[in-house]
Amino acid sequence: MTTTWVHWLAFVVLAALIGTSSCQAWLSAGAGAPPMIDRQAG
Amino acid sequence: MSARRFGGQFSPKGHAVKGGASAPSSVLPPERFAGRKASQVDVRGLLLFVLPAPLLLAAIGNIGGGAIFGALMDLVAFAALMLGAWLVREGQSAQLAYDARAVARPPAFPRKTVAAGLAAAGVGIAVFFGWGQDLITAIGFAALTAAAHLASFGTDPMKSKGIDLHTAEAERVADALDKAEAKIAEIESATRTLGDREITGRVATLLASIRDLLAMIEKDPRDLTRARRYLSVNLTGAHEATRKYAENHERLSDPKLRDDYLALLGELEASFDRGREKLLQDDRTDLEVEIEVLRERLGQETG
Repeated sequence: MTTTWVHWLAFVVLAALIGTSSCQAWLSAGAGAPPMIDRQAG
Repeated sequence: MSARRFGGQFSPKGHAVKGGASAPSSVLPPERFAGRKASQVDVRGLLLFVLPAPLLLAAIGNIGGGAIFGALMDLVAFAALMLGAWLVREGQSAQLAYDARAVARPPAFPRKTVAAGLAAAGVGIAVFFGWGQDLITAIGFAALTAAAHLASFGTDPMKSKGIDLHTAEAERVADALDKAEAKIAEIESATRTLGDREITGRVATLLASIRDLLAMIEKDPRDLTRARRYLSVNLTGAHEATRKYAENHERLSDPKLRDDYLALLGELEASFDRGREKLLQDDRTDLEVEIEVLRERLGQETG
């Protein structure tokens, strides 16, 4: 199975999705207040 | 002046010779890697293990902030993504094995498809619980992740391939090949634990002979009946002997045991080579008979 540019393009999207969600979760946790409480308050 | 193979007392297969000179040898071992493909390392598969790392830091941050539920959800998302990354790699090696064979059944467990589901679940959980987005956004992220995963890594092979795979005979062939390959893999892993270069080399040569025989059966499944003896008796014998030698060689530390094991490997290799030659001879005889019958029939039609 050869990896074509379409596979790579899809992988870039996948990496962006995993990376963004992970980093945002980290930033939310690092902000101090638990995100669940933020949502309920806001 | 002819070229001389390099080697000495401490080289693999080297022999101590008077004066320290090496014994010239023009006999090269048979091609150990013939018919085998190099294993492929997919960078994308490796990156999948790195990308979820911030989730671990998020879990630590949440523990520091006293949000145990948030930390737990971060860890669940991290675990789902890591399990998915591992399954993708397993799925890729299963597909390589499927592609390499002429007669194969689809993998019993659709690893790549399940990996896409796990990645989607991991991202969805991270977006909803970790990032704090609403449910619709989390589902959207998860759906996009599954689609991108499937587009990037594809799905598992779902169909059997090979000739007449619906017949019981072909099922039997695929089954016998699966079992033989499982035994070969076990012999290889048992040999690796020995750390003995001579034995590793000899076993690799033996396995090359066995793989040749398996390739012949794949091309012509009728050969299975003829080769059954080699697969059931000799391969099982090689498997058992290697396993027992690997288990006991350190405890017994008997040089005679090693010599006996090496002699057995030599005999088995010769036996598999004979089997392969016999199959080739049988194929030729079959072909000769078929040609003879066709020629007679043509002679009758024209005559």
